[in-house]
Amino acid sequence: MTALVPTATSAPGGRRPNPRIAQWKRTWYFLRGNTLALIGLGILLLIIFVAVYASSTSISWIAMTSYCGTNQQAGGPSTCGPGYPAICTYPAGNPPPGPNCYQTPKENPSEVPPTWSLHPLATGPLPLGSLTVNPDEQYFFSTYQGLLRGADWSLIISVSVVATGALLGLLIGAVSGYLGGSIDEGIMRLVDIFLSIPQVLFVIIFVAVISEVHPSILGLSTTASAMLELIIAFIVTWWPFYARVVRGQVLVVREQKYVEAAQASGASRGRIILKHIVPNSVYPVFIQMSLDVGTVPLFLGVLVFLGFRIFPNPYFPEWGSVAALSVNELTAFLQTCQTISGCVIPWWQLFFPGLALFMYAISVNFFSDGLRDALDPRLRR
Amino acid sequence: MESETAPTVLAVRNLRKHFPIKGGLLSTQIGAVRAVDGVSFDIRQGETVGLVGESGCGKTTVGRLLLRLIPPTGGHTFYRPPDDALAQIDQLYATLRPYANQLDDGRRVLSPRAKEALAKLDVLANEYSLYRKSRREMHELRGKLQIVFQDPFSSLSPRMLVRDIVSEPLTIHHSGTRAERYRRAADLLRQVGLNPEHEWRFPHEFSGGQRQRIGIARALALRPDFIVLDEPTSALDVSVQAQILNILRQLQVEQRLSYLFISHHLSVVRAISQKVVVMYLGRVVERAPTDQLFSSPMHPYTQALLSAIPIPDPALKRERIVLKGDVPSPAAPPPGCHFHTRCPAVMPVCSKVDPPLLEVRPDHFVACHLYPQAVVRPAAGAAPEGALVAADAPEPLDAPFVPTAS
Amino acid sequence: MASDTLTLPTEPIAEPAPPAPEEAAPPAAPVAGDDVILSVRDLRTYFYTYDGVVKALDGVTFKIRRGETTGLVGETGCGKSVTAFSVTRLIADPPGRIMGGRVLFDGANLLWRLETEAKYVTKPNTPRVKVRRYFRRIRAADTRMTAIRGRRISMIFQEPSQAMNPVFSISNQLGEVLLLHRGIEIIDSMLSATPGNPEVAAAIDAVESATARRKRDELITAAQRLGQLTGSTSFGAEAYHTARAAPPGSDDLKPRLLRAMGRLRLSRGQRQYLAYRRRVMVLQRELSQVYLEEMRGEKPLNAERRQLQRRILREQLTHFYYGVWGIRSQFQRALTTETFWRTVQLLEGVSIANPAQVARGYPHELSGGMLQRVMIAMALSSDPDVLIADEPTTALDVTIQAQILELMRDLRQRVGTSILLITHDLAVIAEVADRVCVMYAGQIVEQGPVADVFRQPLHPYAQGLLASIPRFDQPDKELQSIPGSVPNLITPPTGCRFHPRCPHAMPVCKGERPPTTVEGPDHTVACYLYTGPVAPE
Repeated sequence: MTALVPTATSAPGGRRPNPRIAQWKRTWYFLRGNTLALIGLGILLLIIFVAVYASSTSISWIAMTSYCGTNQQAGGPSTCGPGYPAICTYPAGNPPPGPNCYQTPKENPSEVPPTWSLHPLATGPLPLGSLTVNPDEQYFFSTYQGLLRGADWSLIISVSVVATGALLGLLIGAVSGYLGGSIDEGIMRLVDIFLSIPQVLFVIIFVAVISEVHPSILGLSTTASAMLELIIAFIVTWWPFYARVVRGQVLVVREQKYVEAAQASGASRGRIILKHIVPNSVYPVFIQMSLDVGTVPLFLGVLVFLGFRIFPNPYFPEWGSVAALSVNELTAFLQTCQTISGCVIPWWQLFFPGLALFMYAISVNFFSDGLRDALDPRLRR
Repeated sequence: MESETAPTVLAVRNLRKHFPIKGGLLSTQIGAVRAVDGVSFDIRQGETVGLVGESGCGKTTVGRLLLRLIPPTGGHTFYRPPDDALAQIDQLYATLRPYANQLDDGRRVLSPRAKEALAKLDVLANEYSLYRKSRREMHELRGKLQIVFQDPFSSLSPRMLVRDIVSEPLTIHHSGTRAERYRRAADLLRQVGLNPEHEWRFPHEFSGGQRQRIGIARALALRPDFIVLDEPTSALDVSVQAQILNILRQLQVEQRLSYLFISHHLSVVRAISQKVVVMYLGRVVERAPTDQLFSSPMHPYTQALLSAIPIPDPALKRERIVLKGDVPSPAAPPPGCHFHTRCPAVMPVCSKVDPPLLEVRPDHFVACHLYPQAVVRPAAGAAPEGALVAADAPEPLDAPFVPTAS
Repeated sequence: MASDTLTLPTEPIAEPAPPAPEEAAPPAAPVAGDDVILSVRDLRTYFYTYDGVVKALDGVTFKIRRGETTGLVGETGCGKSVTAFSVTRLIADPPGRIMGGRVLFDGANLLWRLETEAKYVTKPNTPRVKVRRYFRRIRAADTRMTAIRGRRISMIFQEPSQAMNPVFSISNQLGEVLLLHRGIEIIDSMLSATPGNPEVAAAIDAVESATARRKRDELITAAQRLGQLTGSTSFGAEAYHTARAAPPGSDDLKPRLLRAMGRLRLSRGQRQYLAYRRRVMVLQRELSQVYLEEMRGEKPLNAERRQLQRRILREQLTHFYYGVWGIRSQFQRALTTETFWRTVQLLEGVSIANPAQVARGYPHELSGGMLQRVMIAMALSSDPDVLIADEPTTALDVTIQAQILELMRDLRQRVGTSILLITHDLAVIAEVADRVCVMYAGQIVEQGPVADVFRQPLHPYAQGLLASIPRFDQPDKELQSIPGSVPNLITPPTGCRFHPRCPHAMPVCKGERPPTTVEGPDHTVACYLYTGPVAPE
């Protein structure tokens, strides 16, 4: 039934239409018809918008209540900016010196644990953690603020991990699949080795060791370098999946006749891999990427929940970690709410970050499903 | 004819390709698929040689071996050997023929005469054989030896524009600037009868015949001497096939090209080739000029092939030779003559001894025990074991095969 | 080796399950008014794609008569496969739609209620058309077609290796089809087998002695007699093949046969299971009859249909335990073995050597030619009225193609099914077909007996086609090609679709489509060059 595709018999009168634009127009036409894909795209755009705005304005344009805390005793010098009420910390065991003062644990005085909250979305202090790294400056944030500020971190981490991992896996898988023989065997054994590294352990150890040895790499600030280490740790454990998947597809593509034609013309192996093999093997990578983009922030949350401090700051505003840390608070609340009346269990601290993660993952899935269907040449439309 | 005195473009001698079958615990080699098992023929400039046979006979592998897309297990393909060098090579092969068994076994205990012949052959091979050329030399030769594939759907990269596909060989060899390359691509498209404005489209927007023309344009990019046409029209309709064949003939005349036309459609082969080589399970069973082969086929397999072709004329009734059974697997070919399991004229000797390829009539070579005597000389290339010695005049042959009208 | 006389005969050992209908006359020149089994009139099929509406078929009219082989020939893109799929309503519903026409099969209108299945809305400024499909009605039509597909009209396709499931054995797949269409006869013969016949022992002795003496004809006769006595022809085939496969000099043939005969003695449980299966099959057959009647009378028979569906459901529910695999496998063994030997008989009928071995094997073990024979066996197992063969030999080598064409000619003599042979190879048509229809861009341009059309093609396209075929028996024939290429079916040429490429084009060709005129005995052509009487519809 190949005749149903219109054959190019008539010359396109004069001007040269760009065929790639026509292809994108066609893709958009099919995406438009797919409701789920549009919903996914909408949510994704919303998240990106939030991330861009929240990160570009360090103090959000929405009137948020942020508090600036110090680690010193009440009444100590404050390094907070204007308009920020100061909170203070005091060592455990002492009575609170003021209304906005919180206990610090004995072992780790730079850590300020979350405290009770009675009015969830109002202006009362709801310290969940800090928005900076510097222990002398601690900004506390509400769930709402955490959602907004967490968007960019989740996006940055997941996109960079997945994109780089996919690219690396694509290249390695393509080289391995095309060259075959002992190179293929060797690389696949390497892939097996990497796959057998336990992801959780590796990420933790890697970040811990490197950040101890080199607190600041490439001249970046401690936050940025810690995040870079984190991303690298993820990429190291994530790329083998892509290499495997790509290799399978490459084994099919390299038997195609156009590859042989390029060989007959004398193309070097590199050229064949880059120009012929890779563009025709990316299809399965897209599928894997769309799934992984939602998985990475979840994974981070798991790590934080288990208690591992991979972020430069224990209460870093990233969705996964916000959700994970709120569990501690919830358990504490569950105990004490039995005795205190009028106490509301802050379910929203767990629910909304989790919902945000869910929306992120599912919108990426819907959109990439729709995109894949629109791009698939085999579906007759 | 002019082609008789034209220089030889490719001389294939004793080409072998065995694919190992791996098995066992450590994937050691436990057997071999003898895809090509001693094939020899010549192609002259401006000539089309047809290579026919059914699936599994190794003809596609031969095409790839000629272009050195896969490395051979044995044998040589000489590129543009001068006539005297070629004559010398054939003489050396004739000298080495009695030692064929020892050479195959790899035993190095040879007579001084054989060693000397081998040394001389080596020298000539280093000079002219494609398989001894260095990577640089081979890279330069790539433009001269091209291939057009059977399947027009998978032979063009689906994600590249037509102009990129056709100019890719030029890009690989860094010839000219980008603009010059695209101009030449448009020129090539015009040569094969396509509108040059089509270069802005993707392959999937074209019909099968048009795609095949794009493939031919790509093959012509570097001005080749020789093109392997691997079943170029098998996937096309009849009228499109006629168009493509006419273009191929026209290009051959214009540019003095040589073709190796691989096909299993004997009618098409007859329309375009001057010489035909018939293969069965990796061996050449018959080799002759086209008219001779079709008017008096000698090997029983060729006769069966010819009688199996359906003719588009319901008025013609023919006596059909329908072969029993299927083609045996090339991994376990029958002993002796490979065809004896299906041959209607099988004799006891056929399952024991391999028939050599002998010149039974002038320029007409057959490998069959029905014709045990050569008229002029045995064919070039080392004969398999148990070779029969050439003798004098042949016996009278069977009546020629002609479809009779009812 | 040459002394082994136990090689397979070319005739099947016993009649294969579908009995041959009475005399299928090998047609020399079909007389007008012969029995027409499938009549297609003005069939139109469009495909609604992103780029516009592809008018794949635009008024196709032809007839297939009983026992006749009709060739449908044309190039890629002319719509011959689409025609075959439209007749059996296998067109992929998005994006394709059958737009109109009349397909009458044995009096039944296969396109009944076509207009209710979809609504069409043209959009301004785009070539696209929005199609609103009523999927429930489409599904209902599909269910109705199950009465025809596979039973009365069978199809075989181009790539036999892709048409079979690689994880099931050949006998499994063939048996499934056989049971579906012939299950009632098979179960009846199983239930009426007579293994207790006193002469059976003597017959088995005869088989054994024939094997020992390696006398093939005697063995065949002995096995057939054994089949007769036990009332089961499949047991006759089993005996023959077991005897053939027995290593020479072995003396356990008789006990093996006696053991094999054990399958003919059915226990009570097995009889009950078989009776249940038979009941369900009878109900299903009645249901498909109802569908056929609906299409014949063009009237819905909702009451009967629902009643039968309910009865089937009730049967299945009350015997739910037969759905449990463990229980079913106990009772089904005899049926499976019986079906196995019947598939062996079927394979013999298509000239496969070693049918027992092939039946036990898997599709990947067989070559293309053998697989195509298996497909033919599968298609013919239900004794259809029409066999549609869609490019059956295009993927095969020349010598194998010769074998398959020989088989098809042989089957035509023996079985008498009408064949609609779709191909682009005119030579194959010349070998096998009685009539030929030449298609171009969704229209039939010429139709007629094969000898007439080939000797004197009337339509310029048919002339061009025949002129472009290389003939190895006419080496000096110049290969003429038809200039231009197949038109874009989204914007096809007006009037006669061939006029842009036609050497004899006239101004009138651009206007309206030329009518189909009769130019010879049963020879019609659609071209303005000819002025015969217009063909009656």
